[in-house]
Amino acid sequence: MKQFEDIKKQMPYAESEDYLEKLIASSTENAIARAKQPKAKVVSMRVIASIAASIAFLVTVGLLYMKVPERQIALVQQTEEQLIAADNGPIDDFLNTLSDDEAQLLAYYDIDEIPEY
Amino acid sequence: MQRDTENQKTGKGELLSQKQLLGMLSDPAQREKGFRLLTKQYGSTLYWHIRRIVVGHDDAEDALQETFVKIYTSIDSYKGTGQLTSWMYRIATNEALSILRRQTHFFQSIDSLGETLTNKLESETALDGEAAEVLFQKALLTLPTQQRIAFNMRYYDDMSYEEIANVTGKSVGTLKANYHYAVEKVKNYIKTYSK
Repeated sequence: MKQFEDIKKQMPYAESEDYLEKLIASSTENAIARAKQPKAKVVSMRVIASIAASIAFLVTVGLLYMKVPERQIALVQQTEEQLIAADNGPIDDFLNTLSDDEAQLLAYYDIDEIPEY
Repeated sequence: MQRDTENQKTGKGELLSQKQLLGMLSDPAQREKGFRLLTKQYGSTLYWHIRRIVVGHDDAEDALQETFVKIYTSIDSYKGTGQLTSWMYRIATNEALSILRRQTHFFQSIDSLGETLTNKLESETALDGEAAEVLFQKALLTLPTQQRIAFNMRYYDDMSYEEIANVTGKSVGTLKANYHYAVEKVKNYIKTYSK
């Protein structure tokens, strides 16, 4: 078996000079022909990435915008619940002692309906 | 570079200087002729540089084709600083690396293609490859890709560290250290696996 120094610069595979000349000649002519062709509109990866990023941004902004009314409704509901929970003053205590009919009378109170004594 | 010397030795056509070639390439009337002379002069060197990276013959053909297209279409962007050959080597290296990248899966590094490339090497050398040379190539395929490329340029193409630095963008010191590390690794591999 050869050692490192004995192997020199030989490759285990070879291509004939004739073959390489033909390959180089054909690749050269192809390159010239391709360069002459009108450039097709190739969408580069950079453009695709930019478009994808823009779409992602718009979708994110859209979703956030859609969520704002939901948040507002939730906030109002929360505030109402807090107000109800906080309603425990003397007026509320008085109202709680009234029956439904008395509460209804009080609600539809009209100055003209005050009975004369 | 080595290939230039070979051409001169064999008398395979008259070599033009880089200045002459660039002069022709920058003249629209002589551009095609200049390009044909350029590829005739450096095509073989570029082919073997690519082939050593991608190993497979078909891949080397594809990468060479793309390299020629890039050279021809972007010769105007060559600023004239540094060697023309270094610039062409850089294009060829990048094309070879993109061929390797196409063989990887998502998030897989090209350094993990060692086994794939070894299989290619075995299929390419099944008939006429000498065992020691195949073993040497297998040892090279155990190196990280960038290190292997730098090793190839130094070992096969006799490029100076400065020239390799121009191609790879790495510092001369790093390249020297990597080269010696690669030599040791290859020697050890051969010692271990040679019968």
